[in-house]
Amino acid sequence: MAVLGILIVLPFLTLVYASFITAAPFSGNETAWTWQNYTGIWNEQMLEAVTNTLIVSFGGTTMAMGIGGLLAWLAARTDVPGKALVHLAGLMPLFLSLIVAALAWSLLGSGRSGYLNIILASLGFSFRIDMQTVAGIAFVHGLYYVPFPFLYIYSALTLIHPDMEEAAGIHGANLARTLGRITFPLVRPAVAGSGLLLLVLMAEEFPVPQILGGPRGIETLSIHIFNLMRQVPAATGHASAVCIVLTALVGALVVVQRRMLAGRDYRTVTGKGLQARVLPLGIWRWPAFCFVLLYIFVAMGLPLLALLQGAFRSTLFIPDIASLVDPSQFSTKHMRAILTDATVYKSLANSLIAAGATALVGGLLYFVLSYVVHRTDLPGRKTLEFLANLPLALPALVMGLGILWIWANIPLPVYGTLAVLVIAYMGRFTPQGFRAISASIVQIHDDLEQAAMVAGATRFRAVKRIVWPLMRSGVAAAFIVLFVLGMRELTASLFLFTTDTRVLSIVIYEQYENGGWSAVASLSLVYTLILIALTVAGRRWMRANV
Amino acid sequence: MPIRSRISKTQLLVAGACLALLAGTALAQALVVDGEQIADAKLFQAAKKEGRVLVYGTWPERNWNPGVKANFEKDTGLNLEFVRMTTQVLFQRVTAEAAANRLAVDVIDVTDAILLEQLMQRNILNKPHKVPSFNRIPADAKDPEGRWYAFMRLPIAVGINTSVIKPADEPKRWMDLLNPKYRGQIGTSSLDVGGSAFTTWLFLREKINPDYWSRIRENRIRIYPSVAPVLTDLVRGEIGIGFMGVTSFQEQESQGAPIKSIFPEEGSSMLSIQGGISSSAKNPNAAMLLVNWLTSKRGSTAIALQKAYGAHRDAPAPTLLDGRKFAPVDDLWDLPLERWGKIREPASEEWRKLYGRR
Repeated sequence: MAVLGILIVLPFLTLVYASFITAAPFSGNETAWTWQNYTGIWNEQMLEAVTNTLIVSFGGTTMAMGIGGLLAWLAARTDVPGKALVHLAGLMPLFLSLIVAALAWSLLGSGRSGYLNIILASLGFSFRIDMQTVAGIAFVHGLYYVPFPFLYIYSALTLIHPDMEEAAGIHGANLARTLGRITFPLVRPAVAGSGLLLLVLMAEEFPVPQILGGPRGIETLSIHIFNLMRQVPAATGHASAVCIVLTALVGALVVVQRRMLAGRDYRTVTGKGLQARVLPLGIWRWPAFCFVLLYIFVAMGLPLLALLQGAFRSTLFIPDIASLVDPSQFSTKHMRAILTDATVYKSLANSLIAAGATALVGGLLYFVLSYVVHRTDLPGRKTLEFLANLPLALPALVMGLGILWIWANIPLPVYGTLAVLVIAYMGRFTPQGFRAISASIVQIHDDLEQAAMVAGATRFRAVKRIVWPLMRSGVAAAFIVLFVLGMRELTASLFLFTTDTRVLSIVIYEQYENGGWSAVASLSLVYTLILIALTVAGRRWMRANV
Repeated sequence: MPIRSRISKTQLLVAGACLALLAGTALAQALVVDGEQIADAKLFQAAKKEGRVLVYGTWPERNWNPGVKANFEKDTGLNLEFVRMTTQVLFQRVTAEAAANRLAVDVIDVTDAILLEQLMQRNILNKPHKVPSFNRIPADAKDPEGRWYAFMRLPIAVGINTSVIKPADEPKRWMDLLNPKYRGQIGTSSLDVGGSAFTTWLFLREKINPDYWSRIRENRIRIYPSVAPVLTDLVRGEIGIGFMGVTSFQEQESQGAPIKSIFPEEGSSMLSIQGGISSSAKNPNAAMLLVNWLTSKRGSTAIALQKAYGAHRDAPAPTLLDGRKFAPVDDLWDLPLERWGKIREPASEEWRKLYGRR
């Protein structure tokens, strides 16, 4: 409770405080209490931001859930060819940080100079792709948030007891009916959990709407908050009030989710044996495989090609399709500059350390948290669950600022070190870590550990020998997700880095802010290759435990 | 034998004292570069003892590092650490650190006069220090008490993509941008982005035409939330014309982008990076040394090579890549600090109403 208090509650309370005062808190300004921050935010721009946020979140969530769920089901329960590839496809978007994905899609599909539009024009089509729209933002969200539903639903599917599906089969149910009546209802916690998570993550997501929508003046709530904070002088009070509105929205969504899941028992992993059942897809095997290939091409192939173009072009201006392949237009100077820059290596080391510490310390914390919430009768565990979900409502930018306000005031040698970044990341990613682990823990029947305890084991021993081994897959997935999220984090870091603790995403963003697109593309390519290596390594380890 | 020994000891003592004096004099030398004294022996000695200086600044690293860091470190032997942030992030961070008594930075600069004033009011940037070249710095580039100096100043220029705008169509004046032939082709950043954007928008209304805001809006100018996407869209040919600090155009041009910088005939506003010594500087002597260096002829010359005016009058003017000279710094339009405070909010509100956005 105390840990969550420091990680989450304090930044949140600071935010609440900031929303009721006339100037930024802890800034040395004189402040007075006011309601004006709440009454002053409801203008046309705010309503447009709310509408855009809803479109971006629901559109993106629908798409990501559809793709992620399908990939998870194909990988976990069917005889689709190339299963390892399907599994990889579900995790692939983790390779691309969202800032990189947004930059790549901006290169691909914005205006007349977008690579895809140049190709369309040269083929004589009048149709043009426009990613700098609300639909474009939703599309990029939909493509790159797939790993969340994939991991949750995959984990849940591998834990469904096959007896149930077999029983349905024996009683004459076909594939669709088995899926609809048995499989889907059993993975509903994972579906609802990841769906809600996506909705909220997309609502507060920053780099994609900033890079794609920004140039056209499209605002979602997160961009609205960012712009309020960025204007001179910063409207911290209004920004905080908008955050509280967002918190209320998320609170409402959490209540809906709880109602959906209330009163049902999803535990299927019991003391009996477990062997996954494979459903034959019949004629759908190859179409399913083609779908996987298409997804990989659109989500990874195209952006990587765009980054390659961006990184190795001498200039970003491309008059026509011939120029896209003209060797004289290419140069390795940007890439060489990046690969010989000591700052890049230092920031990479910082990213690895901060992300690693977040995954290890955070992973352990979320495991304990998840266990306490789902497996004990301790008082206050519902509050814990609420607190664990709270950061979803805190835009990372504001959370970064809240952590700056707090840790600059705490007389411990933390501020200005990598530790403060780890604290920010752990707080920020609590919902993701907690949910990833919870999705697995609710499926393991407590009769297993009860049996161990009846046989004389302590609770700690029962957890260590029974729960932990059964959950290794889920915990490993959570670790990897946390690690990669830590590697990609940008927004909260903006307020907390120093010369010594600059992380890789900050270096990329600085280049973007400076307009150095070739350097951005080169760095993004290097960054993506590192994330690919990490995810592939993590995936192997994860699969070994599945 | 005893006499010889005594003489020898005396000689040794005298020789030793002379050597120590010589060494001391050598060590305690003033910092003089190219005949210009940047710091006296006492300050230089004290700064060297501190060994490092930490800066929170707004000039891009790609300019700061080769222009300031490399040369300053070479001249002084001190270590310069630079954390680059956007003005608003820098301001929030500095004020939060100061409120928590954790402000350890030595030198701070911002691009916004209002924020600069607030930093002084809050006693964050309130360390008067008159640099050796004080009298060679124009009055509008320094605080009379030496609490801040304009370390870098650069003109706002019009940039065109030469693949989109043909030579015959190149705009020469700000008024040309109102011509309907450029409809939908022009882009720039929102007035709310910060100091230079505000100054530029105000310049266009006060110096070019009172109706400039509404007329260029009718010409469907695209407003961007920051400078970066304006530049990107210009380089990619999504827009043909943009306006911002000339350095950004020059860098793209040097990388081979089809960009040309134009200084409009009616003159320009400027982007000014102003800063000074933090009141709670951990390395106050090194901070003074850096500010001396930045405002010296030597420092301003190094800054000019990075395509910006330094503070010192006698430093050579920066030149464009094609050899053209920058618009003279004295001709650049800037808003006096006292007027900022009065006009900022009403003018911003008016602009926001017209453009329907912040």
